[in-house]
Amino acid sequence: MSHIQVNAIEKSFADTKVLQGVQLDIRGGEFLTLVGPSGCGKSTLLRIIAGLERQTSGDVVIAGRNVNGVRASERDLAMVFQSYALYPHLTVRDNMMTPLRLRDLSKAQRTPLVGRYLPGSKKKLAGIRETVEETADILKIRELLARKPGQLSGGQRQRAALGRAMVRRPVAFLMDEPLSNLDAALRVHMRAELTDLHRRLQATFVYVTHDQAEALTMSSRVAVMMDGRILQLDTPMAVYADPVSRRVAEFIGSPKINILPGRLDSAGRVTVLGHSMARRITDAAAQSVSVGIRPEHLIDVPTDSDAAEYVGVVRRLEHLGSDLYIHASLSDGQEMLIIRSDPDAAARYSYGDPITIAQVKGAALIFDDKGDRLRTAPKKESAGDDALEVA
Amino acid sequence: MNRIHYLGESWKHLILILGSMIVILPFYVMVSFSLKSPGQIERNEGGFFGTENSMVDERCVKLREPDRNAIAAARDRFEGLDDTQIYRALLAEIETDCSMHPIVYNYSKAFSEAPLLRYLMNGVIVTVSIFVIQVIVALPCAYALAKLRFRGRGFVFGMVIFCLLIPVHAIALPLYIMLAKVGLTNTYAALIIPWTISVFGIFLMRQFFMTVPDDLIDAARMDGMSEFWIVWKVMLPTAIPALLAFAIFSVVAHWNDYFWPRIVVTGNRDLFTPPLGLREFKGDADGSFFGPMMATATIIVMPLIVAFLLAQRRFIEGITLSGMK
Ligand SMILES: Nc1ncnc2c1ncn2[C@@H]1O[C@H](COP(=O)(O)OP(=O)(O)OP(=O)(O)O)[C@@H](O)[C@H]1O
Ligand SMILES: [Mg+2]
Repeated sequence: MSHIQVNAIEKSFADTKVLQGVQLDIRGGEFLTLVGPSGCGKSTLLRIIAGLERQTSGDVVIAGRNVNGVRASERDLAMVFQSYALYPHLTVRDNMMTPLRLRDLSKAQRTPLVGRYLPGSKKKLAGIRETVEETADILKIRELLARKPGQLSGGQRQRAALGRAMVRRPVAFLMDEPLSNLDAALRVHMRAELTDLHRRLQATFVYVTHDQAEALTMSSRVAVMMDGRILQLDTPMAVYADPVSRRVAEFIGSPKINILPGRLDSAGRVTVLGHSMARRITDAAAQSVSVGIRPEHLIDVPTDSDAAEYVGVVRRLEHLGSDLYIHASLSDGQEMLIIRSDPDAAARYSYGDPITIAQVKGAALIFDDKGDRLRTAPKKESAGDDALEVA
Repeated sequence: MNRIHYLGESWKHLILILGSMIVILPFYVMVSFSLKSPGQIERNEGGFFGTENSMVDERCVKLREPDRNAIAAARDRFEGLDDTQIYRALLAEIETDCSMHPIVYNYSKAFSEAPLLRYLMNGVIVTVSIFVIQVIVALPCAYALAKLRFRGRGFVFGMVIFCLLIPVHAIALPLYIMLAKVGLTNTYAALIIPWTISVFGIFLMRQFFMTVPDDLIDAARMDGMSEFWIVWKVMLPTAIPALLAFAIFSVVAHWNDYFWPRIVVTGNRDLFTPPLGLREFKGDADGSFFGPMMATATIIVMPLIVAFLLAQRRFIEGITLSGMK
């Protein structure tokens, strides 16, 4: 359990710059998730931390030690791969024993056939065996120890791979999309197990995923990565509710945040589709802006309601059991809105019906034309009521 | 519908059967000859197995033909017979002595006429050494070409492909001269060394290693394995199917090779490989040695056929390179 610092890491493959100055401070014992769209460089960053890839420039510091020139195996990290990467010809037990054998036995003791008869090997091997069995008990795979990876289900392979990573008691676990080969139900289950495991081991976890649900549910902190940069590093709730830019807001949240075009005048007032927003933007020039509103901040209201702000036509109903998402096209343009509603609303609407929509006051996020977040002046009556800076 | 389907299938099978017959026919003749007597081989009768239960070994008779001394010595046994009669009686005895079942004749001749066991052992020594060294060379090369990133990798691989195009016969002479210069002709080394670097093996294993996921190698690195150990502890075990396919190619090629041993082994019969052993029968004046010759041929190919049948499934897996998921 120790912290890992990533300082101004850059990485280029031939001409393409994959990482552009990544700065990341991973606290000891935290569960940090790197999340971002495919190809943004998450795996590359993780592999650089692991020592499997060399950075073009920058430093990796693990527990105060600069490990730039240190081999992967000597960084005392363990990695879990998306494809599990278990040795196909070895049993689960041998798979899990391999890292310990390589670390604890001397070269002579590792020689095939004779090695195990050398002085000291027997005791060490017994110790290794015991560690493996303890770990197998934690992961509940003891009865699978004698099997080969080919004879295991995906979830069992995943556990075996975790076991191989755990036996060494590394300072940190690096995981590259370890759940993405599992089916949906198992993925949700393993999410819970990984969280438990993290609590139990008290170790540092660095977890790469492009699945935001995994990022939001498991992590202590989330780093949102795009185009080789970390855009935001914060707790899952903060990243969701208080994104620093439009791209982060669009990436985190499912269904996607609604984005409407708006106009900011010199007085700091934002106008969206003819409606002025209650709160003002502090010090910003007049420009066109985008206004982001999450589906849960839109409410469908009776036609005659005073609150009605937008009028649209129902295009699609998405029933998820607990929630109903209404996709509506606004009558004054091409804009589509997604509204979260309760399932009962399904009875009220069908395709082509008109719908009037209100917006929860103070929930909109304003972004300037470059996509950066524009802060609003806190509302006087509710200052300190919540930390969310909303329009 | 179904009938048309069957018709289509049967055409395929007919063609395949015809093809396999063309391939099998020489083997059929070889095995059949090794079971028959010289007379039946010459007269082309007796079916596959031959019908004679015993035959007389002409050479054996000729060698033991009774001379004057023998006749004199036998006078006691054949009282009252003149010399010609004694001669005939002795000859009859010798003929029964020298007669045996054709199979016994052919196969015992195969072993007695030439030191076939020695040749077989030479064959084993040469092919096994070649294969083992080829693997020792090819695996690290293939690993580097498939999985390591270094400057000039594309060029090196291009050279490997290029070398695939060079026929061995084209470089046989320079190779021979080099071996002769260092005084290695007529040694096992001459039979083995030229084949130890198999570009085909490097190419085949490289193609196979390309299909091994990078994650597996990275996992091994994280576990603390050196590149050397990765080759032998991770790549080798996963490459068994491909290695088996390569083993068959390599062993068949060098077990059956006549050309190269013929060039570098000149005279020293102790170094003869099985195909060179076959030549022993060629020079025979009376030309009636087809039986033993074919018996020898049968013995020579038998280990390969048995090995192939045992490894058949994995061999096909290896060729299609689908052995590992
Ligand atoms: N060995 C390499 N050579 C050249 N380019 C590479 C190499 N490895 C990765 N890249 C490029 O670097 C970029 C980032 O790759 P990386 O694997 O880190 O993405 P990722 O964020 O993990 O994506 P995913 O979610 O799909 O796994 C990609 O554009 C990829 O094409
Ligand atoms: Mg990746």
